[in-house]
Amino acid sequence: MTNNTYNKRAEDILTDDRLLNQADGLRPMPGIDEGELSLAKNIQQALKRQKKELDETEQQELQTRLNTSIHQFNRKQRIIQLASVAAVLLMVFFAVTLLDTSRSQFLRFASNFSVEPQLGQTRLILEEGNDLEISATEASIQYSQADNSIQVSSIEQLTTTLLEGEKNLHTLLVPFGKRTKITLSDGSIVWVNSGSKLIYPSRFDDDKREVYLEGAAIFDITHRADQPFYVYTDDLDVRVLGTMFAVSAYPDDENVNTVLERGKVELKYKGTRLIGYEKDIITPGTKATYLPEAGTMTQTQVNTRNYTSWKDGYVFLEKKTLGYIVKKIARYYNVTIHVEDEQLASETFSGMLDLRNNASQILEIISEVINIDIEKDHDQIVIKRKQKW
Amino acid sequence: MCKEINGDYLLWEKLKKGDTSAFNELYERYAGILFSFGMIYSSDKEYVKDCIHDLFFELFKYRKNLSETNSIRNYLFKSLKRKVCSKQKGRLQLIYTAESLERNEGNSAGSEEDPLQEDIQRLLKAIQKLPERQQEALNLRFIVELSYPEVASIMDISLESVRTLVYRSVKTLREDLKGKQVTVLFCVMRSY
Repeated sequence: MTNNTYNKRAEDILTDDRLLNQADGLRPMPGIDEGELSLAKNIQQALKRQKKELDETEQQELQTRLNTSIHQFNRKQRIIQLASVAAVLLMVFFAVTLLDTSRSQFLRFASNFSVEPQLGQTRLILEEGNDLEISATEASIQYSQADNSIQVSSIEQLTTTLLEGEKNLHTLLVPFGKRTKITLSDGSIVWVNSGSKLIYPSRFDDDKREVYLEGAAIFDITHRADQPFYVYTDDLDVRVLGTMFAVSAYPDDENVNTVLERGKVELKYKGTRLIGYEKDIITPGTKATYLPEAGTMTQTQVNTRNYTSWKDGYVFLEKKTLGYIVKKIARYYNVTIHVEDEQLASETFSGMLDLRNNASQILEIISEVINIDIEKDHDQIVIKRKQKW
Repeated sequence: MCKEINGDYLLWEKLKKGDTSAFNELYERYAGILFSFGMIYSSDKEYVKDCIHDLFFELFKYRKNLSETNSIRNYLFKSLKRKVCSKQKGRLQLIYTAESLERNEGNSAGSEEDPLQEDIQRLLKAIQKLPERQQEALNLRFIVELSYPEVASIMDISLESVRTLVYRSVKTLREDLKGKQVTVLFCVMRSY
């Protein structure tokens, strides 16, 4: 021990890292008063004990939260990037064709799901991995903006699913033999017919209301002047401001039919011109038939209830060929019907069918009016001209 | 320390290029100490966590526009301090919570009786009476256990000023505790 060093005090120790490191508190240190040393150590220790630490679960929770934020941010960012890429493409190909970014986004999304029209249940696909299966033949789905929920009701049951805050694209798949009436979040009602697919957002937040349709549906759109409603199909777009109309765009039909009951819609389609799109505005009572292959649009005046009555459970037929009628029945009831005689298939009929009957009953009714025989051959119904004897 | 800063530098460069693994590594490296750091400016744990969340989220969001920086560590500390203090209207909240005192008691309950408790509380009470800047310097140096140069940078003052703050605070503490504690404290000190 040496005495020649001047006495260090607590403040000297605490401001000098080297001294503080040496001061382990166990041994007296040369030239340092023990009381001062202990004061220094006590201040250091007392403060050290005030340290608040993040425990492992908290740290992980925080990291999860952070990752979620980043994930959401990235998703938004991607959409912005897609949009800007699309904008560049638009400029490049402007002379060739008109690209609609939101339309192509819808179509890209739409290609994710196939309808599998022949079998299965009606499916409502919400977020990833969240499917609702609806076994009822006639179901009703209602989106409520007020409490952000979906209510699914059929004869047997009623279920309510709460939606998350995010806006998402939902898909409704209706197989052959089933139908669904869906009320979208804006109050618009869509009757989705057999073998159809409807894609729509859970909420309409954007300046457009956009849905995609494959198959047939009747739309009763609530009027919103500042938020036009668009129905996209593969070959034709329908722009509406508030109206009721029916669209039929089955992939296995060669034409797309739009029938307007009331209001006004604009149809946008690839016409006969090489570039760009053509637009037609149709008026109530009009059926617009578009042939994508030829690019031709023809308008005829029709009785609209012939096309929209199926939502109420019956169908009017006016001079329809048997082939057409049978195709409708096959879709509606999900049965396979074969008309043996081609000439028979092209004969036309008129009348009203009550769709509450089943397929056999309906065909029975038809067979009472016209001379046909109906035979069941395994899963197939075969229609033959009645043999004369 | 030098090595660590170099490690940080590489992370920073990777982060600027959009490397997310670098981002995660940076988070793992700093979340703990940033929390302890933030807690000396606020007594609200959830609030401090929110600030850390925002800090890292913004870091990610603006990663491509990050400037060159000599010390990522410093940048993180200073940004967090700004965040925590800004919403509290710039006032520092240097508070030793009742909860933290209880926690100390809780910790010692299992072991032998801790005669330090009383002294620690007395000491902490004395520290609370110190001017704000002195408390901040003490807290940064001895709670968060940052080095003096780091404390200086965070407080935006010179190294000498930091030492002066600590120096003065200890002097005041000695006055405050004068006569009563020295011997007791010394005995207690032996228990470490």
